[in-house]
Amino acid sequence: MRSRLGLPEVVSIGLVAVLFAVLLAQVVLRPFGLGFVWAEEFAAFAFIALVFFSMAAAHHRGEHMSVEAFQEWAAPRLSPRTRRVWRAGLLVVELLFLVLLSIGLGQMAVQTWGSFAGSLSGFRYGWLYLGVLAAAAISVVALATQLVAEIRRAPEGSYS
Amino acid sequence: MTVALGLVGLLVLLALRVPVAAALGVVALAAVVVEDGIANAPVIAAQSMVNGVNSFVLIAAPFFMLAGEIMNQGGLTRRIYRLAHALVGWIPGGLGQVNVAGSMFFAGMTGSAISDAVGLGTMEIKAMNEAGYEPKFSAAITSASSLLGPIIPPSVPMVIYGAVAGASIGSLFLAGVVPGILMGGALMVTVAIYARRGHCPREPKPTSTELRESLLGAMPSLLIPLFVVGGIYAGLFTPTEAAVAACAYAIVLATFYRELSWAELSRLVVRIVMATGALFYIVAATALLGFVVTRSGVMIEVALWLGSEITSPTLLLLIIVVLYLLVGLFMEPIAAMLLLVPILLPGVKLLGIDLVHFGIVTVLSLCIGLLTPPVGLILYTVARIANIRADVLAVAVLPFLLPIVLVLLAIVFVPDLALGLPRLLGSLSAS
Repeated sequence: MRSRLGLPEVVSIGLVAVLFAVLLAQVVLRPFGLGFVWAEEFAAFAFIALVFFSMAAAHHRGEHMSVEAFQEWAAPRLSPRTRRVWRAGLLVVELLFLVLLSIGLGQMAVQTWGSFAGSLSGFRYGWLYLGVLAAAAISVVALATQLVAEIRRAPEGSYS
Repeated sequence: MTVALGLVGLLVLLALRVPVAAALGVVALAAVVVEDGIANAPVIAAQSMVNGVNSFVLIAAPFFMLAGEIMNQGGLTRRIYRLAHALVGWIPGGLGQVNVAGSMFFAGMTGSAISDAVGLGTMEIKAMNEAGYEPKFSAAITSASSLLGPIIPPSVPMVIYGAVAGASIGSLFLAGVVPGILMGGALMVTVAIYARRGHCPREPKPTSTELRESLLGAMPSLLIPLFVVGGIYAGLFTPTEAAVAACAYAIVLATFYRELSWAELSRLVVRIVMATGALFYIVAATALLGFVVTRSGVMIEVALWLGSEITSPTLLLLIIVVLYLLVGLFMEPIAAMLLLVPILLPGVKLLGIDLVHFGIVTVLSLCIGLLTPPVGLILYTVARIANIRADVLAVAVLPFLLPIVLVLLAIVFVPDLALGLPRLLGSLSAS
Protein backbone atom coordinates (compact mmCIF):
# COMPACT_ATOMS: atom_id res chain seq x y z
CA MET A 1 0.00 0.00 0.00
CA ARG A 2 1.26 3.49 -0.87
CA SER A 3 2.12 5.58 2.15
CA ARG A 4 1.60 9.12 0.68
CA LEU A 5 -1.96 10.35 0.62
CA GLY A 6 -3.43 11.54 -2.67
CA LEU A 7 -6.29 14.03 -3.17
CA PRO A 8 -9.12 11.45 -3.03
CA GLU A 9 -7.72 9.99 0.20
CA VAL A 10 -7.47 13.44 1.80
CA VAL A 11 -11.02 14.39 0.75
CA SER A 12 -12.36 11.03 1.97
CA ILE A 13 -10.65 11.36 5.35
CA GLY A 14 -12.10 14.85 5.65
CA LEU A 15 -15.58 13.55 4.85
CA VAL A 16 -15.27 10.73 7.43
CA ALA A 17 -14.22 13.33 10.03
CA VAL A 18 -17.12 15.65 9.15
CA LEU A 19 -19.66 12.79 9.20
CA PHE A 20 -18.29 11.62 12.54
CA ALA A 21 -18.45 15.12 14.05
CA VAL A 22 -21.96 15.94 12.81
CA LEU A 23 -23.51 12.59 13.78
CA LEU A 24 -21.82 12.54 17.17
CA ALA A 25 -22.93 16.10 17.86
CA GLN A 26 -26.45 15.05 16.89
CA VAL A 27 -26.36 12.19 19.44
CA VAL A 28 -24.91 14.36 22.20
CA LEU A 29 -27.08 17.44 21.63
CA ARG A 30 -30.43 15.78 20.92
CA PRO A 31 -31.31 15.09 24.59
CA PHE A 32 -30.94 18.85 25.21
CA GLY A 33 -33.30 19.67 22.35
CA LEU A 34 -30.41 21.05 20.29
CA GLY A 35 -30.35 18.52 17.42
CA PHE A 36 -29.77 19.72 13.85
CA VAL A 37 -32.72 19.51 11.47
CA TRP A 38 -30.34 19.28 8.52
CA ALA A 39 -28.03 16.59 9.98
CA GLU A 40 -29.62 13.56 8.31
CA GLU A 41 -29.81 15.07 4.83
CA PHE A 42 -26.32 16.53 5.15
CA ALA A 43 -24.96 13.16 6.30
CA ALA A 44 -26.60 11.36 3.38
CA PHE A 45 -25.04 13.81 0.87
CA ALA A 46 -21.63 13.67 2.57
CA PHE A 47 -21.81 9.89 2.47
CA ILE A 48 -22.53 9.89 -1.28
CA ALA A 49 -19.45 12.07 -1.77
CA LEU A 50 -17.45 9.78 0.54
CA VAL A 51 -18.45 6.69 -1.44
CA PHE A 52 -17.27 8.15 -4.75
CA PHE A 53 -14.09 9.79 -3.44
CA SER A 54 -13.16 6.59 -1.61
CA MET A 55 -13.90 4.73 -4.86
CA ALA A 56 -11.36 7.04 -6.53
CA ALA A 57 -8.90 6.42 -3.68
CA ALA A 58 -9.31 2.67 -4.13
CA HIS A 59 -8.70 3.12 -7.88
CA HIS A 60 -5.52 5.03 -7.03
CA ARG A 61 -4.28 2.17 -4.90
CA GLY A 62 -5.73 -0.69 -6.97
CA GLU A 63 -7.80 -1.97 -4.05
CA HIS A 64 -11.10 -2.79 -5.75
CA MET A 65 -12.42 -6.31 -5.23
CA SER A 66 -12.10 -8.78 -8.07
CA VAL A 67 -12.37 -12.53 -8.55
CA GLU A 68 -8.85 -13.81 -9.10
CA ALA A 69 -9.32 -17.57 -9.29
CA PHE A 70 -9.46 -17.90 -13.09
CA GLN A 71 -6.69 -15.38 -13.66
CA GLU A 72 -4.38 -17.20 -11.24
CA TRP A 73 -5.00 -20.43 -13.14
CA ALA A 74 -4.76 -18.97 -16.64
CA ALA A 75 -2.05 -16.32 -16.38
CA PRO A 76 0.97 -18.63 -16.07
CA ARG A 77 -0.19 -20.42 -19.24
CA LEU A 78 -0.22 -17.26 -21.35
CA SER A 79 2.57 -15.44 -23.13
CA PRO A 80 3.78 -12.14 -21.60
CA ARG A 81 2.30 -10.26 -24.56
CA THR A 82 -1.16 -11.83 -24.06
CA ARG A 83 -1.01 -11.05 -20.34
CA ARG A 84 -0.24 -7.39 -21.12
CA VAL A 85 -3.16 -7.22 -23.53
CA TRP A 86 -5.37 -8.80 -20.88
CA ARG A 87 -4.33 -6.28 -18.22
CA ALA A 88 -4.75 -3.37 -20.61
CA GLY A 89 -8.17 -4.72 -21.65
CA LEU A 90 -9.35 -4.75 -18.03
CA LEU A 91 -8.36 -1.12 -17.63
CA VAL A 92 -10.05 -0.13 -20.92
CA VAL A 93 -13.33 -1.81 -19.86
CA GLU A 94 -13.42 0.03 -16.56
CA LEU A 95 -12.30 3.30 -18.15
CA LEU A 96 -15.12 3.17 -20.68
CA PHE A 97 -17.64 2.57 -17.91
CA LEU A 98 -16.33 5.45 -15.80
CA VAL A 99 -16.18 7.84 -18.76
CA LEU A 100 -19.85 7.14 -19.57
CA LEU A 101 -20.72 7.51 -15.88
CA SER A 102 -18.88 10.86 -15.78
CA ILE A 103 -20.83 12.10 -18.78
CA GLY A 104 -24.06 11.10 -17.02
CA LEU A 105 -22.97 12.83 -13.81
CA GLY A 106 -22.27 16.01 -15.75
CA GLN A 107 -25.70 15.84 -17.40
CA MET A 108 -27.35 15.26 -14.03
CA ALA A 109 -25.50 18.26 -12.55
CA VAL A 110 -26.95 20.45 -15.30
CA GLN A 111 -30.45 18.94 -15.02
CA THR A 112 -30.65 19.34 -11.22
CA TRP A 113 -28.96 22.74 -10.96
CA GLY A 114 -32.28 24.47 -10.32
CA SER A 115 -33.38 22.02 -7.58
CA PHE A 116 -32.59 22.66 -3.94
CA ALA A 117 -32.27 20.27 -0.99
CA GLY A 118 -35.08 20.24 1.58
CA SER A 119 -33.44 21.01 4.91
CA LEU A 120 -30.07 22.29 3.67
CA SER A 121 -31.09 25.75 2.64
CA GLY A 122 -29.37 26.98 -0.52
CA PHE A 123 -27.80 23.62 -1.37
CA ARG A 124 -28.28 22.79 -5.05
CA TYR A 125 -28.51 19.12 -6.03
CA GLY A 126 -26.23 20.02 -8.92
CA TRP A 127 -23.38 20.53 -6.46
CA LEU A 128 -23.77 16.96 -5.25
CA TYR A 129 -23.48 15.64 -8.80
CA LEU A 130 -20.53 17.94 -9.48
CA GLY A 131 -18.75 16.55 -6.43
CA VAL A 132 -19.36 12.99 -7.55
CA LEU A 133 -18.24 13.96 -11.07
CA ALA A 134 -14.96 15.26 -9.63
CA ALA A 135 -14.40 11.92 -7.88
CA ALA A 136 -15.23 9.93 -11.02
CA ALA A 137 -12.85 12.14 -13.03
CA ILE A 138 -10.06 11.37 -10.56
CA SER A 139 -10.78 7.66 -11.06
CA VAL A 140 -10.63 8.12 -14.84
CA VAL A 141 -7.26 9.86 -14.57
CA ALA A 142 -5.92 7.14 -12.24
CA LEU A 143 -7.00 4.36 -14.60
CA ALA A 144 -5.75 6.20 -17.70
CA THR A 145 -2.36 6.64 -16.02
CA GLN A 146 -2.25 2.93 -15.22
CA LEU A 147 -3.20 2.11 -18.82
CA VAL A 148 -0.40 4.28 -20.22
CA ALA A 149 2.07 2.65 -17.81
CA GLU A 150 0.83 -0.76 -18.90
CA ILE A 151 1.28 0.04 -22.59
CA ARG A 152 4.78 1.41 -21.98
CA ARG A 153 5.81 -1.50 -19.77
CA ALA A 154 8.52 -3.83 -21.15
CA PRO A 155 6.85 -6.88 -22.77
CA GLU A 156 8.87 -9.39 -20.73
CA GLY A 157 7.52 -8.01 -17.42
CA SER A 158 6.26 -10.69 -15.09
CA TYR A 159 2.59 -11.01 -14.25
CA SER A 160 1.47 -9.44 -11.00
CA MET B 1 -33.17 -13.45 -22.80
CA THR B 2 -31.49 -10.10 -22.02
CA VAL B 3 -31.15 -11.14 -18.38
CA ALA B 4 -29.58 -14.49 -19.34
CA LEU B 5 -27.13 -12.76 -21.68
CA GLY B 6 -26.34 -10.25 -18.98
CA LEU B 7 -25.65 -13.02 -16.48
CA VAL B 8 -23.27 -14.77 -18.88
CA GLY B 9 -21.57 -11.45 -19.62
CA LEU B 10 -21.21 -10.77 -15.91
CA LEU B 11 -19.65 -14.18 -15.25
CA VAL B 12 -17.20 -13.72 -18.15
CA LEU B 13 -16.14 -10.27 -16.93
CA LEU B 14 -15.72 -11.52 -13.36
CA ALA B 15 -13.64 -14.48 -14.56
CA LEU B 16 -11.44 -12.11 -16.56
CA ARG B 17 -10.79 -10.24 -13.30
CA VAL B 18 -12.69 -7.06 -14.08
CA PRO B 19 -13.36 -5.56 -10.61
CA VAL B 20 -16.74 -6.76 -9.29
CA ALA B 21 -18.27 -3.25 -9.25
CA ALA B 22 -17.12 -2.44 -12.78
CA ALA B 23 -18.34 -5.81 -14.08
CA LEU B 24 -21.79 -5.20 -12.57
CA GLY B 25 -21.83 -1.65 -13.90
CA VAL B 26 -20.70 -2.57 -17.43
CA VAL B 27 -23.33 -5.31 -17.78
CA ALA B 28 -26.09 -3.05 -16.44
CA LEU B 29 -24.99 -0.12 -18.59
CA ALA B 30 -24.93 -2.33 -21.69
CA ALA B 31 -28.53 -3.38 -20.96
CA VAL B 32 -29.55 0.28 -20.50
CA VAL B 33 -27.87 1.21 -23.80
CA VAL B 34 -29.84 -1.54 -25.58
CA GLU B 35 -33.14 -0.41 -24.05
CA ASP B 36 -32.77 3.38 -23.93
CA GLY B 37 -30.00 4.20 -26.40
CA ILE B 38 -26.51 5.54 -25.84
CA ALA B 39 -27.76 9.12 -25.38
CA ASN B 40 -29.87 8.34 -22.29
CA ALA B 41 -27.77 5.60 -20.75
CA PRO B 42 -25.18 7.79 -18.95
CA VAL B 43 -27.86 9.83 -17.14
CA ILE B 44 -29.71 6.70 -16.05
CA ALA B 45 -26.43 5.18 -14.81
CA ALA B 46 -25.46 8.32 -12.90
CA GLN B 47 -28.87 8.74 -11.31
CA SER B 48 -29.24 5.07 -10.33
CA MET B 49 -25.73 4.81 -8.86
CA VAL B 50 -25.99 7.99 -6.81
CA ASN B 51 -29.47 7.03 -5.58
CA GLY B 52 -28.16 3.55 -4.71
CA VAL B 53 -25.93 4.97 -1.99
CA ASN B 54 -28.27 7.79 -0.95
CA SER B 55 -29.17 6.14 2.33
CA PHE B 56 -28.69 7.38 5.87
CA VAL B 57 -28.73 3.79 7.18
CA LEU B 58 -25.77 2.70 5.02
CA ILE B 59 -23.51 5.22 6.80
CA ALA B 60 -23.51 2.81 9.76
CA ALA B 61 -21.42 0.24 7.86
CA PRO B 62 -18.08 2.12 7.60
CA PHE B 63 -18.37 3.35 11.18
CA PHE B 64 -18.97 -0.15 12.57
CA MET B 65 -15.90 -1.27 10.59
CA LEU B 66 -13.90 1.66 11.99
CA ALA B 67 -15.01 0.79 15.53
CA GLY B 68 -13.63 -2.73 15.02
CA GLU B 69 -10.31 -1.39 13.74
CA ILE B 70 -9.98 1.00 16.70
CA MET B 71 -10.70 -1.84 19.13
CA ASN B 72 -8.03 -3.98 17.53
CA GLN B 73 -5.45 -1.20 17.58
CA GLY B 74 -6.46 0.32 20.90
CA GLY B 75 -6.00 -2.67 23.19
CA LEU B 76 -9.70 -3.46 23.65
CA THR B 77 -9.41 -6.71 21.71
CA ARG B 78 -6.50 -7.87 23.90
CA ARG B 79 -8.54 -7.31 27.04
CA ILE B 80 -11.45 -9.26 25.59
CA TYR B 81 -9.08 -12.11 24.74
CA ARG B 82 -7.79 -12.11 28.33
CA LEU B 83 -11.33 -12.37 29.67
CA ALA B 84 -12.21 -15.20 27.29
CA HIS B 85 -8.99 -16.96 28.37
CA ALA B 86 -9.91 -16.70 32.04
CA LEU B 87 -13.50 -17.81 31.46
CA VAL B 88 -13.09 -20.84 29.19
CA GLY B 89 -9.36 -21.55 28.75
CA TRP B 90 -9.44 -24.31 31.34
CA ILE B 91 -12.26 -26.39 29.77
CA PRO B 92 -11.51 -29.18 27.23
CA GLY B 93 -10.31 -27.54 24.03
CA GLY B 94 -8.28 -24.89 25.89
CA LEU B 95 -7.30 -22.07 23.59
CA GLY B 96 -9.71 -23.36 20.91
CA GLN B 97 -12.55 -22.51 23.29
CA VAL B 98 -10.91 -19.17 24.09
CA ASN B 99 -10.86 -18.51 20.36
CA VAL B 100 -14.62 -19.03 20.01
CA ALA B 101 -15.56 -17.20 23.22
CA GLY B 102 -13.29 -14.28 22.29
CA SER B 103 -15.00 -14.02 18.90
CA MET B 104 -18.43 -14.07 20.55
CA PHE B 105 -17.49 -11.13 22.77
CA PHE B 106 -15.74 -9.32 19.94
CA ALA B 107 -18.69 -9.85 17.58
CA GLY B 108 -20.76 -7.77 19.96
CA MET B 109 -18.54 -4.79 19.27
CA THR B 110 -17.79 -4.92 15.58
CA GLY B 111 -19.85 -6.01 12.63
CA SER B 112 -17.52 -7.79 10.28
CA ALA B 113 -15.83 -11.17 10.02
CA ILE B 114 -12.64 -9.75 8.55
CA SER B 115 -12.17 -7.41 11.51
CA ASP B 116 -12.42 -10.41 13.84
CA ALA B 117 -10.11 -12.57 11.73
CA VAL B 118 -7.41 -9.93 11.35
CA GLY B 119 -7.51 -8.36 14.83
CA LEU B 120 -8.44 -11.04 17.32
CA GLY B 121 -7.40 -13.83 14.93
CA THR B 122 -3.77 -12.71 14.72
CA MET B 123 -3.54 -12.77 18.52
CA GLU B 124 -5.33 -16.11 18.83
CA ILE B 125 -3.28 -17.92 16.19
CA LYS B 126 -0.02 -16.71 17.71
CA ALA B 127 -1.07 -17.85 21.22
CA MET B 128 -2.33 -21.23 19.97
CA ASN B 129 0.78 -21.94 17.90
CA GLU B 130 3.04 -21.04 20.84
CA ALA B 131 1.05 -23.42 23.04
CA GLY B 132 1.70 -26.26 20.60
CA TYR B 133 -1.60 -26.44 18.72
CA GLU B 134 -1.51 -27.57 15.11
CA PRO B 135 -1.31 -24.41 12.94
CA LYS B 136 -4.07 -25.67 10.66
CA PHE B 137 -6.38 -26.25 13.67
CA SER B 138 -5.63 -22.76 15.03
CA ALA B 139 -6.33 -21.24 11.61
CA ALA B 140 -9.48 -23.32 11.05
CA ILE B 141 -11.15 -22.41 14.35
CA THR B 142 -10.13 -18.76 13.90
CA SER B 143 -11.71 -18.71 10.44
CA ALA B 144 -14.91 -20.42 11.57
CA SER B 145 -15.36 -18.31 14.70
CA SER B 146 -14.86 -15.09 12.73
CA LEU B 147 -18.27 -15.77 11.11
CA LEU B 148 -19.81 -14.82 14.46
CA GLY B 149 -18.84 -11.21 13.63
CA PRO B 150 -21.62 -10.57 11.09
CA ILE B 151 -24.22 -12.64 13.02
CA ILE B 152 -23.99 -11.33 16.58
CA PRO B 153 -25.03 -7.64 16.51
CA PRO B 154 -23.93 -5.15 15.35
CA SER B 155 -23.47 -6.44 11.82
CA VAL B 156 -22.39 -4.67 8.65
CA PRO B 157 -24.11 -7.17 6.29
CA MET B 158 -27.34 -6.82 8.30
CA VAL B 159 -27.21 -3.03 7.92
CA ILE B 160 -26.87 -3.45 4.15
CA TYR B 161 -29.58 -6.13 4.00
CA GLY B 162 -31.89 -3.89 6.02
CA ALA B 163 -31.32 -1.02 3.59
CA VAL B 164 -31.94 -3.25 0.54
CA ALA B 165 -34.93 -5.19 1.87
CA GLY B 166 -36.50 -2.41 3.92
CA ALA B 167 -36.32 -4.49 7.11
CA SER B 168 -35.85 -2.97 10.57
CA ILE B 169 -32.16 -2.97 11.44
CA GLY B 170 -32.93 -2.93 15.17
CA SER B 171 -35.01 -6.11 14.74
CA LEU B 172 -32.31 -7.72 12.59
CA PHE B 173 -29.71 -7.00 15.27
CA LEU B 174 -31.92 -8.56 17.96
CA ALA B 175 -32.66 -11.53 15.68
CA GLY B 176 -28.95 -12.25 15.33
CA VAL B 177 -28.36 -12.76 19.06
CA VAL B 178 -29.73 -16.30 19.53
CA PRO B 179 -28.34 -17.70 16.22
CA GLY B 180 -24.96 -16.19 17.14
CA ILE B 181 -24.98 -17.81 20.58
CA LEU B 182 -26.07 -21.12 19.02
CA MET B 183 -23.25 -20.92 16.48
CA GLY B 184 -20.73 -20.16 19.21
CA GLY B 185 -22.06 -23.06 21.29
CA ALA B 186 -21.94 -25.44 18.32
CA LEU B 187 -18.35 -24.43 17.55
CA MET B 188 -17.35 -24.94 21.20
CA VAL B 189 -18.86 -28.44 21.19
CA THR B 190 -16.91 -29.20 17.98
CA VAL B 191 -13.69 -27.96 19.61
CA ALA B 192 -14.39 -30.15 22.67
CA ILE B 193 -14.87 -33.20 20.41
CA TYR B 194 -11.62 -32.36 18.61
CA ALA B 195 -9.89 -32.00 21.99
CA ARG B 196 -10.68 -35.63 22.84
CA ARG B 197 -8.72 -36.78 19.79
CA GLY B 198 -6.16 -34.11 19.07
CA HIS B 199 -3.55 -32.07 20.85
CA CYS B 200 -5.41 -29.44 22.86
CA PRO B 201 -3.62 -28.67 26.10
CA ARG B 202 -5.89 -27.21 28.77
CA GLU B 203 -4.95 -23.95 30.38
CA PRO B 204 -4.75 -23.77 34.18
CA LYS B 205 -7.93 -22.71 35.94
CA PRO B 206 -7.74 -18.99 36.73
CA THR B 207 -7.55 -17.79 40.29
CA SER B 208 -10.41 -15.62 41.48
CA THR B 209 -8.06 -12.61 41.34
CA GLU B 210 -7.15 -13.33 37.69
CA LEU B 211 -10.82 -13.77 36.84
CA ARG B 212 -11.80 -10.54 38.57
CA GLU B 213 -8.96 -8.55 36.99
CA SER B 214 -9.69 -9.82 33.49
CA LEU B 215 -13.40 -9.10 33.95
CA LEU B 216 -12.72 -5.58 35.22
CA GLY B 217 -10.23 -5.01 32.38
CA ALA B 218 -12.73 -6.06 29.71
CA MET B 219 -15.82 -4.53 31.33
CA PRO B 220 -15.62 -1.13 29.58
CA SER B 221 -15.35 -2.91 26.21
CA LEU B 222 -18.23 -5.24 27.03
CA LEU B 223 -20.50 -2.23 27.49
CA ILE B 224 -20.31 -1.50 23.74
CA PRO B 225 -22.80 -4.15 22.57
CA LEU B 226 -25.13 -3.18 25.40
CA PHE B 227 -25.29 0.44 24.41
CA VAL B 228 -25.34 -0.25 20.65
CA VAL B 229 -28.20 -2.77 20.71
CA GLY B 230 -29.84 -1.28 23.82
CA GLY B 231 -29.59 2.25 22.46
CA ILE B 232 -31.20 1.32 19.15
CA TYR B 233 -33.87 -0.77 20.87
CA ALA B 234 -34.65 1.99 23.36
CA GLY B 235 -34.91 4.52 20.54
CA LEU B 236 -32.01 6.59 21.88
CA PHE B 237 -30.27 6.55 18.52
CA THR B 238 -30.50 5.22 14.98
CA PRO B 239 -28.18 2.38 13.85
CA THR B 240 -26.00 4.99 12.09
CA GLU B 241 -25.70 7.10 15.23
CA ALA B 242 -25.03 3.95 17.26
CA ALA B 243 -22.09 3.13 14.96
CA VAL B 244 -20.66 6.62 15.37
CA ALA B 245 -21.18 6.48 19.14
CA ALA B 246 -19.42 3.08 19.27
CA CYS B 247 -16.48 4.61 17.40
CA ALA B 248 -16.33 7.55 19.78
CA TYR B 249 -16.46 5.26 22.80
CA ALA B 250 -13.72 3.03 21.37
CA ILE B 251 -11.54 6.11 20.71
CA VAL B 252 -12.06 7.32 24.30
CA LEU B 253 -11.16 3.89 25.74
CA ALA B 254 -8.14 3.42 23.45
CA THR B 255 -6.89 6.90 24.35
CA PHE B 256 -7.42 6.16 28.04
CA TYR B 257 -5.40 2.94 27.64
CA ARG B 258 -2.72 5.05 25.84
CA GLU B 259 -2.71 2.61 22.92
CA LEU B 260 -3.92 4.83 20.08
CA SER B 261 -2.01 7.76 18.63
CA TRP B 262 -3.28 10.26 16.05
CA ALA B 263 -0.99 8.71 13.44
CA GLU B 264 -2.47 5.26 14.09
CA LEU B 265 -6.01 6.60 14.04
CA SER B 266 -5.45 8.30 10.67
CA ARG B 267 -3.93 5.07 9.32
CA LEU B 268 -7.07 3.20 10.43
CA VAL B 269 -9.30 5.81 8.78
CA VAL B 270 -7.38 5.42 5.51
CA ARG B 271 -7.95 1.66 5.72
CA ILE B 272 -11.68 2.21 6.24
CA VAL B 273 -11.77 4.67 3.35
CA MET B 274 -10.32 1.95 1.09
CA ALA B 275 -12.84 -0.61 2.33
CA THR B 276 -15.68 1.90 1.89
CA GLY B 277 -14.61 2.65 -1.68
CA ALA B 278 -14.34 -1.02 -2.60
CA LEU B 279 -17.61 -2.02 -0.93
CA PHE B 280 -19.91 0.87 -1.81
CA TYR B 281 -18.76 1.12 -5.43
CA ILE B 282 -20.28 -2.38 -5.64
CA VAL B 283 -23.43 -1.18 -3.84
CA ALA B 284 -23.78 1.72 -6.31
CA ALA B 285 -23.20 -0.50 -9.35
CA THR B 286 -25.67 -3.07 -8.04
CA ALA B 287 -28.29 -0.32 -7.78
CA LEU B 288 -27.88 0.24 -11.53
CA LEU B 289 -28.20 -3.48 -12.15
CA GLY B 290 -31.23 -3.52 -9.85
CA PHE B 291 -32.84 -0.85 -12.03
CA VAL B 292 -32.29 -3.04 -15.11
CA VAL B 293 -33.53 -6.21 -13.42
CA THR B 294 -36.62 -4.50 -11.96
CA ARG B 295 -37.57 -2.99 -15.31
CA SER B 296 -37.09 -6.32 -17.11
CA GLY B 297 -39.89 -7.79 -14.98
CA VAL B 298 -37.75 -10.79 -14.10
CA MET B 299 -38.42 -10.28 -10.39
CA ILE B 300 -42.17 -10.57 -10.92
CA GLU B 301 -41.63 -13.63 -13.12
CA VAL B 302 -39.43 -15.23 -10.45
CA ALA B 303 -42.00 -14.38 -7.76
CA LEU B 304 -44.88 -15.80 -9.81
CA TRP B 305 -42.90 -18.92 -10.66
CA LEU B 306 -41.93 -19.44 -7.04
CA GLY B 307 -45.53 -18.83 -5.97
CA SER B 308 -46.87 -21.41 -8.40
CA GLU B 309 -44.16 -24.06 -7.95
CA ILE B 310 -43.37 -23.72 -4.25
CA THR B 311 -46.01 -23.38 -1.59
CA SER B 312 -43.95 -24.09 1.50
CA PRO B 313 -41.94 -21.17 2.96
CA THR B 314 -39.46 -23.63 4.48
CA LEU B 315 -38.87 -25.32 1.13
CA LEU B 316 -38.33 -21.95 -0.52
CA LEU B 317 -35.81 -20.97 2.18
CA LEU B 318 -33.99 -24.29 1.71
CA ILE B 319 -33.75 -23.72 -2.04
CA ILE B 320 -32.50 -20.18 -1.42
CA VAL B 321 -29.91 -21.47 1.08
CA VAL B 322 -28.56 -23.88 -1.55
CA LEU B 323 -28.46 -21.03 -4.09
CA TYR B 324 -26.66 -18.77 -1.61
CA LEU B 325 -24.12 -21.46 -0.73
CA LEU B 326 -23.36 -22.02 -4.42
CA VAL B 327 -23.14 -18.31 -5.22
CA GLY B 328 -21.07 -17.78 -2.07
CA LEU B 329 -18.39 -20.01 -3.55
CA PHE B 330 -17.75 -17.43 -6.25
CA MET B 331 -18.88 -14.07 -4.90
CA GLU B 332 -18.17 -11.84 -1.94
CA PRO B 333 -21.21 -12.03 0.43
CA ILE B 334 -22.32 -8.40 0.28
CA ALA B 335 -22.06 -8.25 -3.52
CA ALA B 336 -24.05 -11.49 -3.76
CA MET B 337 -26.62 -10.14 -1.31
CA LEU B 338 -27.08 -6.92 -3.26
CA LEU B 339 -27.53 -8.89 -6.45
CA LEU B 340 -29.84 -11.66 -5.22
CA VAL B 341 -31.98 -10.18 -2.46
CA PRO B 342 -33.95 -7.78 -4.71
CA ILE B 343 -34.66 -10.66 -7.13
CA LEU B 344 -35.76 -13.07 -4.40
CA LEU B 345 -37.64 -10.59 -2.24
CA PRO B 346 -41.00 -10.60 -4.11
CA GLY B 347 -41.16 -14.41 -3.92
CA VAL B 348 -40.22 -14.36 -0.25
CA LYS B 349 -42.94 -11.81 0.51
CA LEU B 350 -45.46 -13.77 -1.54
CA LEU B 351 -44.99 -16.80 0.70
CA GLY B 352 -45.24 -14.68 3.83
CA ILE B 353 -41.68 -15.24 5.05
CA ASP B 354 -40.71 -12.67 7.66
CA LEU B 355 -38.10 -10.29 6.21
CA VAL B 356 -36.08 -10.37 9.44
CA HIS B 357 -36.00 -14.20 9.35
CA PHE B 358 -35.03 -14.09 5.68
CA GLY B 359 -32.31 -11.56 6.54
CA ILE B 360 -30.68 -13.79 9.15
CA VAL B 361 -30.80 -16.78 6.75
CA THR B 362 -29.35 -14.60 3.97
CA VAL B 363 -26.49 -13.16 6.01
CA LEU B 364 -25.48 -16.49 7.54
CA SER B 365 -25.72 -18.49 4.27
CA LEU B 366 -23.73 -15.98 2.26
CA CYS B 367 -21.11 -15.47 4.97
CA ILE B 368 -20.34 -19.21 4.87
CA GLY B 369 -18.88 -18.41 1.44
CA LEU B 370 -16.14 -16.46 3.24
CA LEU B 371 -14.71 -19.85 4.28
CA THR B 372 -14.97 -21.67 0.96
CA PRO B 373 -12.65 -21.55 -2.06
CA PRO B 374 -12.19 -20.18 -4.67
CA VAL B 375 -13.40 -16.79 -3.34
CA GLY B 376 -13.15 -17.20 0.43
CA LEU B 377 -11.84 -13.90 1.74
CA ILE B 378 -11.45 -15.12 5.33
CA LEU B 379 -9.80 -18.32 4.13
CA TYR B 380 -7.02 -16.45 2.32
CA THR B 381 -6.63 -13.81 5.03
CA VAL B 382 -6.29 -16.33 7.87
CA ALA B 383 -4.06 -18.62 5.80
CA ARG B 384 -1.70 -15.69 5.34
CA ILE B 385 -1.79 -14.83 9.07
CA ALA B 386 -1.19 -18.47 10.07
CA ASN B 387 1.42 -18.94 7.34
CA ILE B 388 -0.21 -22.06 5.94
CA ARG B 389 -1.52 -22.88 2.47
CA ALA B 390 -5.12 -21.84 1.71
CA ASP B 391 -5.97 -25.30 0.35
CA VAL B 392 -4.76 -26.90 3.61
CA LEU B 393 -6.94 -24.50 5.57
CA ALA B 394 -9.92 -25.12 3.26
CA VAL B 395 -9.82 -28.80 4.26
CA ALA B 396 -9.10 -28.12 7.95
CA VAL B 397 -12.09 -25.78 8.24
CA LEU B 398 -14.58 -28.41 6.95
CA PRO B 399 -15.33 -29.96 10.39
CA PHE B 400 -16.26 -26.49 11.63
CA LEU B 401 -18.53 -25.78 8.68
CA LEU B 402 -20.76 -28.68 9.66
CA PRO B 403 -22.02 -27.16 12.96
CA ILE B 404 -22.49 -23.78 11.27
CA VAL B 405 -24.60 -25.36 8.51
CA LEU B 406 -26.59 -27.28 11.15
CA VAL B 407 -27.36 -24.03 12.97
CA LEU B 408 -28.37 -22.47 9.64
CA LEU B 409 -30.77 -25.35 8.98
CA ALA B 410 -32.16 -25.04 12.51
CA ILE B 411 -32.88 -21.34 11.86
CA VAL B 412 -34.60 -22.23 8.56
CA PHE B 413 -36.84 -24.87 10.19
CA VAL B 414 -37.45 -22.99 13.46
CA PRO B 415 -37.92 -19.29 12.62
CA ASP B 416 -38.44 -18.49 16.30
CA LEU B 417 -34.74 -19.08 16.91
CA ALA B 418 -34.21 -15.81 15.08
CA LEU B 419 -37.57 -14.11 15.62
CA GLY B 420 -38.17 -15.09 19.26
CA LEU B 421 -36.04 -12.37 20.85
CA PRO B 422 -37.27 -9.43 18.73
CA ARG B 423 -40.85 -10.62 19.34
CA LEU B 424 -40.24 -10.99 23.06
CA LEU B 425 -38.92 -7.45 23.25
CA GLY B 426 -41.77 -6.10 21.16
CA SER B 427 -39.54 -5.14 18.23
CA LEU B 428 -41.53 -7.45 15.91
CA SER B 429 -45.19 -8.31 15.94
CA ALA B 430 -46.09 -12.01 16.20
CA SER B 431 -47.49 -13.48 12.98
